[in-house]
Amino acid sequence: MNTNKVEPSEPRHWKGRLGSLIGDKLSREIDAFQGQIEQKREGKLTDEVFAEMRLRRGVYGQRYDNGHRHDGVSSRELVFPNAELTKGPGTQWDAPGMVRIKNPFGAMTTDQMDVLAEVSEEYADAILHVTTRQDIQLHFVHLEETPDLMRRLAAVGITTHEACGNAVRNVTACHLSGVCTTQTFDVTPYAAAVSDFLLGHPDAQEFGRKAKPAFSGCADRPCGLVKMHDFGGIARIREVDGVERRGFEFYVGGGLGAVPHQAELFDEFLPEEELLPICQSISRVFARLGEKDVRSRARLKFLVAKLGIEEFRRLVLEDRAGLAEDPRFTAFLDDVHEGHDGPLWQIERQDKLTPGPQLEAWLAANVAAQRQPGYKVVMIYLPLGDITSDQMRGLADVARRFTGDTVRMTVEQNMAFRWVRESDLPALHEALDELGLAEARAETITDITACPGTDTCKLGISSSRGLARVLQDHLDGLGEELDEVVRGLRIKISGCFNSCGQHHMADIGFWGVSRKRNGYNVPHFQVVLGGQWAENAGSYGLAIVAVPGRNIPAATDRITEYYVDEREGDESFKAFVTRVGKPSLRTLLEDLVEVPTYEQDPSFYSNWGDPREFTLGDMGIGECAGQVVSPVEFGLQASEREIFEAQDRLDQGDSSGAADIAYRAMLIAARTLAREKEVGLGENPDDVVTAFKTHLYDPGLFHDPYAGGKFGNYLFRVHGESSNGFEATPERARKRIEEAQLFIEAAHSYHVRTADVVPV
Amino acid sequence: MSVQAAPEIEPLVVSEPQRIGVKIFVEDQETFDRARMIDVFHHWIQEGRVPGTLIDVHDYTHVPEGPGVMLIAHEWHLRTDEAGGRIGFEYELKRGGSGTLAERVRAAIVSVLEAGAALEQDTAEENPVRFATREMVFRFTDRLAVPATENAFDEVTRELESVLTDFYGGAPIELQRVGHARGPLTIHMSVGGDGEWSLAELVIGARSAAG
Repeated sequence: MNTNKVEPSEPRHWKGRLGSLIGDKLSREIDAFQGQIEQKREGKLTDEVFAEMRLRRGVYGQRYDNGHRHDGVSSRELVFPNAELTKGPGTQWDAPGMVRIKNPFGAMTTDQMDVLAEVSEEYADAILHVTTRQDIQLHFVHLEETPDLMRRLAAVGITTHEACGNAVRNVTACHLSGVCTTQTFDVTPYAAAVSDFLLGHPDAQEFGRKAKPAFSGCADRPCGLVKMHDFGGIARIREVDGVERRGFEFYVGGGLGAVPHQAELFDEFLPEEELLPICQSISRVFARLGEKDVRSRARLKFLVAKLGIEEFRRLVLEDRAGLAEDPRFTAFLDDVHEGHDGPLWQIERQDKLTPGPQLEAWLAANVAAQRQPGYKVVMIYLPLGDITSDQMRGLADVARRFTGDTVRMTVEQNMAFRWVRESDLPALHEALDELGLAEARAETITDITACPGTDTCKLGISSSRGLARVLQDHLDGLGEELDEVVRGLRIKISGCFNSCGQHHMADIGFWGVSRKRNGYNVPHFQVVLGGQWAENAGSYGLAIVAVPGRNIPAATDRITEYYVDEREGDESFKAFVTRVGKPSLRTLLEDLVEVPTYEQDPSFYSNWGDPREFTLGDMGIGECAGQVVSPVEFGLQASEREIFEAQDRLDQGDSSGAADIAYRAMLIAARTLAREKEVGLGENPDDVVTAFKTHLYDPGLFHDPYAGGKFGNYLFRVHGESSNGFEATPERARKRIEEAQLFIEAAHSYHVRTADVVPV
Repeated sequence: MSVQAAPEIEPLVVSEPQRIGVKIFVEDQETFDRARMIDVFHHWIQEGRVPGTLIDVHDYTHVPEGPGVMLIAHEWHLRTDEAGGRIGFEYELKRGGSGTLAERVRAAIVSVLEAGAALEQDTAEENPVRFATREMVFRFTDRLAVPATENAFDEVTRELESVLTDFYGGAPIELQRVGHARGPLTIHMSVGGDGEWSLAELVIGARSAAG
């Protein structure tokens, strides 16, 4: 063999090899990020500053990146080569991380799919994970390989810029836009325009938290989920002076998370030419007036709630009036009106289909009509949103053959082929089947949505994906026993209250919580029933009760059987839940709340799919949006979630339950703060109150600059009431909830006063 | 005075890859218990059963023909790979390799054989897993160092033949390019002749060959 090495003609680095394929601006940005990595390595950047820089490039941390992992026996140190280096507060340099890739409205070309396959197998674990916001996530990526990963994506027009951080995130839109039978018009070009316009926009760089936009082509169908987003529009046409004009029913201030908010109507008809300037002004008002210090109050929804929609609207319109005109406001409309709705294929002779059973099931579950006769939309079911690099490459081939080019990802973690000729369906099914992608379950109860949860997320409490796998197997096992009305329901699972699995909008939702039982932490899931997926996430579900993870399959059976047995006529699941009410549903699940002792059944003390004994010790500091989230903020968010629950209870007429939960919320907040001073502090209420008094109240640390010890005294009084018996009338319960809210606000203020918060 | 032309030097296409995958196949595909691998890999982390900075276990068994169950280390990934519908152990060096291409390939083979031998040993008492020893698949996902071209295939083949001849004591080796045209360079190896090797024997031979 010839061992004389000669430099090959092509450069041995991606930057040189890809050269002009990457646009100048993006190329400079990626070079700058590579420089920042080097600066951090040399100690020239602080952890906090570098963390925000990498997050804005879509480079996240991942579970165990603090260098510790509980292996089921004890917490072990992960000894990485560059143990002295960090890439964020408490985040090891060499620990694998996650990269989020933005795909506006979930669209991908086949060339992009090829490159996504390449980078996933080269830099990650050869799996591409489709998220509930039409992004793609790669896991187990090394920081120092991210610039090359970004360059390869940039060469095919993909960016990770602002896929994370306190910025405008991926602009989502319904995957049927342009081909939907019920759309008012195709929102794709509008979503694209907003995405391009706000990416890196100077007025969208100073947010306290992220902002998520969404667009929908119609009001009734669920695909766009506009009402759970920070801002977004539903397509509308209005006749003005005898001329049909396009615009949007525009919403602001929606969001899920610990405290879900339904978006408020900003404008019944926002004309299309006002879309970009209004988005810019919303960004400016949010940047100017949005909360910056207390991250758990910093989303747009809190600003809208605080100001009220009228005042928020007034401020935005006032700002809009002063905006300098920008040619981009309307430039995109010329292109929109040229129209891109035409078919990619000419319909030729259409043979009548004679499907066999497998094809028939797939046609029924995964294929839908397009508004254009003769063409179909085909849903490709991805289990838990995962697809291998080999499948992605194969799918690109299939897309080239059957759709011409583009594919869209859906908010239910699947993919959609559009413009498929009806006559091609059998051949398409066969091609997908060869890739293992022809399962007939898209958009059914077994097409379960789940966030990454404890698999990779630092904030995960319970294993959302482990539960999803088990539930799918369980429901598959029921086979024909599963009633037809149950097949159409949706299950969505989040590993914690942050709601990335969108559990609030599911018919049957679960989110991970921990409960202390028999001296152990036991993984549980809060059961949320009756969310509305339709009407753009029209309403959120009711939290019923927390059930041990091991009992969730049984709980699901109970709930679905109850629905089948007791539904009236064509009653929807949401209507059924509303009619039968929470008390009845809680009673239904009551015995499933019980946890056997460890000796009786140790499986209750582990997450699904993970044999290690359950621990909260692996939870890290979250990076779910820009600046890292401290354990204190995480705890205070948990207390706010309890307030939401308390309010919900009160609304259901359960005053006693509401009062108890409000008290619990105060205890969580007090314990969260007191644990900073007393690390081993347990959950006993007396201990928590004593520690709070000793460490925070008596030294005057918790005192409000104006109200003094007033808010701390709320805790002492409520604690006393709890010990002495408390008659919870609706009015007294409402008062307690209000006081608990004030106490938690004071806790946030204390945290801001004392924490070393680095402004973004 | 006559001028002697300089010998023509063929430019090398391939350099030292950072990422090399080697897959060995499970003999009895039908009885392989995927769910058990989650427990096995968690035990491996607890016991430090294989060298490396062991991070976590990841379950991808829901993905058709996917990575199965993965053991993630800082330096490598090990998966109960199901690509092509055939279950095996795929070890993929992710970073930190050193030496020439041949040395890196040899180290990767040793690693997958050692992992396979550990699994054979750990499952010996119940539903034992055995690996086939006459077949491997090599995958080079580092496209910068090993492009998926015919020239690269020729170069890598020469290196592989040299390494594998050592492993198999001169038995005939057949190397064939497989996989998707746009995928990473992937090479299937099969061993001819009458020789028989256990995984443990190959490991011992490989260790001695590696010095």
